[in-house]
Amino acid sequence: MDYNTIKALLNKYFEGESSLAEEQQLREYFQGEHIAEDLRQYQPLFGYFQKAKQQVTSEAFDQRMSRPISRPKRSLRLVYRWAAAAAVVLMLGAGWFFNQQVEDPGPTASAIDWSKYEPATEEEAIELARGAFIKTSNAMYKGLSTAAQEVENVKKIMDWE
Amino acid sequence: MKRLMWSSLLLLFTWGLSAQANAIDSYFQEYVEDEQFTVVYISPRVFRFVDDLTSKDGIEMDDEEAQAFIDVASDMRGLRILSTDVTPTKYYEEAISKIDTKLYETLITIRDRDGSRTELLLRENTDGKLEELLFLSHGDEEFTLMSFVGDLDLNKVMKLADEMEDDNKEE
Repeated sequence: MDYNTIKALLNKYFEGESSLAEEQQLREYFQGEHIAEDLRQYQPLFGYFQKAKQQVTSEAFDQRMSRPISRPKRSLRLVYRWAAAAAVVLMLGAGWFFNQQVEDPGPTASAIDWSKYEPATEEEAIELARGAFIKTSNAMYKGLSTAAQEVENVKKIMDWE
Repeated sequence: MKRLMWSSLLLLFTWGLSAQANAIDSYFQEYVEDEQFTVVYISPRVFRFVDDLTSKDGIEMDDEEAQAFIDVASDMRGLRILSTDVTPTKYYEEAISKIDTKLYETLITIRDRDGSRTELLLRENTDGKLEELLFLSHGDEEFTLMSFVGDLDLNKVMKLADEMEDDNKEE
């Protein structure tokens, strides 16, 4: 291929008017041995294919290249894990909220503000609680001992007969 | 991860169960608002510190009775007392009829010769644990309604009665 043809093709190339076949011609020229001295500066433009073909990658590089493929998977799993954790937190929060609602259920029981019925002092509270326990335990005692007494009575009657 | 989900679901479920209101909130709100009633609420906070408080001056209890009291109190999560001296019999009848017998089981009914009556009712949760003990009583002078919320041990309550009985004998 003579110098003038190449020069003309290069001009067309830089104008952006070259055809695929003409660009192929240019590539062949610049990959060849005989390149005119003043055209050498354009060689990198057309020589890259050849270089890319010759490049050999190391195993470490291959591994590094393959890593990004597996990594998204892992990070996706991590996303799921965080999402699950967030969901659990949300559920617990909802549960807590729901719980608050139930313990103080809506318009009915919220009418009772128990705190205003608390005794003024803790000593007083204890005294009242003690009184309440004693009443209750006395009732239990009375109930059960009377029941036991009755059972005894019934036994006696059975013995008499 | 699945296990965590299930356990949190379970937690929610049990929360829901434990979050039941007491009988007074359920049936006797109008009594609380009624001026004729004396209302007392003792919060769980008091029962948590009952150990320290009973050792203070001003509350006189002998050691065994105090211990029995502390044993009962430590299981308590709240005590509500309603009482009135206005038409006690009427209120008693009304109160008894309001209680849902599907939820509350009668433990003891006492009817005295003087016409006074006492009823002890229990509410258990689905695990068979005691949730609430209701005490209702009326005589000529007073109607009392008490709601003990908590996992009460009835043996401990009986123990307290025993201690009291011993004291009465000694006197």
